[in-house]
Amino acid sequence: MEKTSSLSISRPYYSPKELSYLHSKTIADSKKVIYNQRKHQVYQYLFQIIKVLKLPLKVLNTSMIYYQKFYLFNIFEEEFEDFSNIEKSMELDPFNVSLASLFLACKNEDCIKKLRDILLVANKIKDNQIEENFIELQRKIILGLEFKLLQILQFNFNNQISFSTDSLVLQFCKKINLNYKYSLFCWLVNFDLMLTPIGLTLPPHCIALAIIIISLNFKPNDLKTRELSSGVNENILDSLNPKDFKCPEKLVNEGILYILDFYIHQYNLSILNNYLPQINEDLNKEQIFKFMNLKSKFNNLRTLNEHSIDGNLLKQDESLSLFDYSISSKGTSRFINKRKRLLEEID
Amino acid sequence: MTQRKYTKEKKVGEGTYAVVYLGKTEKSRQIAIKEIKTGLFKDGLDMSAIREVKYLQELRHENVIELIDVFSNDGNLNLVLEFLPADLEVLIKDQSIIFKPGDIKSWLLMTLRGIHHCHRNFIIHRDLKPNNLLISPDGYLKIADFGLARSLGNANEDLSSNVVTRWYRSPELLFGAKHYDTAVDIWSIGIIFAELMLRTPYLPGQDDINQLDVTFRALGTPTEANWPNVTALPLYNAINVYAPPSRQELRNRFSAATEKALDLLIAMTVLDPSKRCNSTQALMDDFFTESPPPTRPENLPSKNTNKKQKTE
Repeated sequence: MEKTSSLSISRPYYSPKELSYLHSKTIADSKKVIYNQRKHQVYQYLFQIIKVLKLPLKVLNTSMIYYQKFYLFNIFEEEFEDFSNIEKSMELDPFNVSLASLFLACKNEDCIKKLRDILLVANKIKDNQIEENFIELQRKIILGLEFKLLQILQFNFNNQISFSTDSLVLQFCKKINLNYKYSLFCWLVNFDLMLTPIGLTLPPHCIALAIIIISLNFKPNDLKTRELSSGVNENILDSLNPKDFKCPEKLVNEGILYILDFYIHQYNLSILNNYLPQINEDLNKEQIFKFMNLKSKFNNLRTLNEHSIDGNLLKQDESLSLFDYSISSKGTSRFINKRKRLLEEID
Repeated sequence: MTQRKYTKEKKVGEGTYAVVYLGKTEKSRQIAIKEIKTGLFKDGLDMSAIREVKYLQELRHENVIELIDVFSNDGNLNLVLEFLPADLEVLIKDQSIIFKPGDIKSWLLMTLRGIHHCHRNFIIHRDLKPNNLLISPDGYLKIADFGLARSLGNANEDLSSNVVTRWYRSPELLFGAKHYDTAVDIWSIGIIFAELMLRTPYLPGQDDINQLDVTFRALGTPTEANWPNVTALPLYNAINVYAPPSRQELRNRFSAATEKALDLLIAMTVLDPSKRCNSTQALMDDFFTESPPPTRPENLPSKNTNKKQKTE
């Protein structure tokens, strides 16, 4: 029987196992490489739009979270078999999904731009011919995608982005008196992380603290900057306590290991690569070895325990299935943003 | 479980982005359902709706309207809100209702408690006025309409100064400041406090330029001496200079106010926002502990015949 109602509880974060499970359903193995390529392109594309429109960086961060969240519940397929159906092809185009993500992120971050203005800039960057009919069709497609995104987010605008990681990184650097080079290193790492799914797994303050701990261990004294930096107090690292930053230790540890893995595998493609000399002055080897050294140092960190999550349980979890938009268009979809609320009702 | 049943009983209002219906829950609790229009003629989901959902989902306080549920039906977004049949503006305008000093104290206290909860969650309301202070059937005042609210952003972010209904707009907003904070709400509450005592709007400017004149005629024109750097604000130019009112002039204007009531009014309407009191200071003010005590909500005057629920 066709379902006429549904209940969605907002899930702010997903464990690494849940993320891989969701991706296994939405991104075919044959498309994993292309998904990652597109994600890099989308990130560059949105960054250019944001620069032209003079939007703050947190909008890019939020847009990337929305974009990646979209593909947790929607199948990544770029081309629709029926070429005559232009609307459907446009709806599947990841660049249009990214524009819908940017449009909603602008609203949520209170940096409102008219969709038309975003599209004019976006099409110019892509060298698309800007015809009135095309813009109107694109606008219609993106507004449809926005409503899909809103449902995937369960109309919850607060969970992942109440405080953006970039502003928290800077605030934490200030709080512990980190010098310019170390702070810039942190900021660059955060910039690199925006294109990763780390924001779907960990809250911003835990990511920010993990970045700071990596910076203090990495000691980026050879970072290329014009500014001179004072020395860093060696005792800062020992005195850092995750509890002072309201961070659960295991989540910070997850962050540390994730970031190190990211640079071990993708250092050459990273923005940080442009700011560090090729050879690490401490090791006299390539920078990547420094990240590998740190990984072995941190290998015993206690991280999230996912032993209880197995494939069968994930299959039974309805909140991890593909999103059924037909229910809200024909029937009723109810959205709850707090689990506590649901438990109250069951009681 | 998924189908929590609500009934829509009658349409009570229609605004630019929403239609409001009165209804009931399964347990016969009265509710208001705001049906948000999501048509293509607009730029997607309206910003006011996003703000309302975003902030009300986070706030749970007896002096803030409760967002009971969010659901999507036939492609529309519906917000289920608690039913609040009256507002403070209606009571102020009804000259047949007599306000006792304890009543005014009670409404002011409930407004400050509600806004204190918003401010400690880093949310600025930005549209406080009697019309947005709704009254529950049991007399509780609740802050509503978060369509202009926003969270306190980064210090380097520009904020729009085109917020707050004109009569309740603070001087920094009138001067076009792009950086402001929770003090704009405190100013509005100060002006509402004055209106509760006067039973007529305190600073009714006819347009934005006239609002500056009306405000400074009543409270004095800010200068570099009492508000450092005020002259650097974008719209600070060609304004008439008025002397600040003497204590006696204020006593004459607010003839029924006690000295402590005047002290609190003055603290909430200091021209320089950095010297204006905050919600904590206002709540701790001696005015609330001097006699008479605030009237209990259930004993406050009400207008039983008026059935009203805010639309945008």
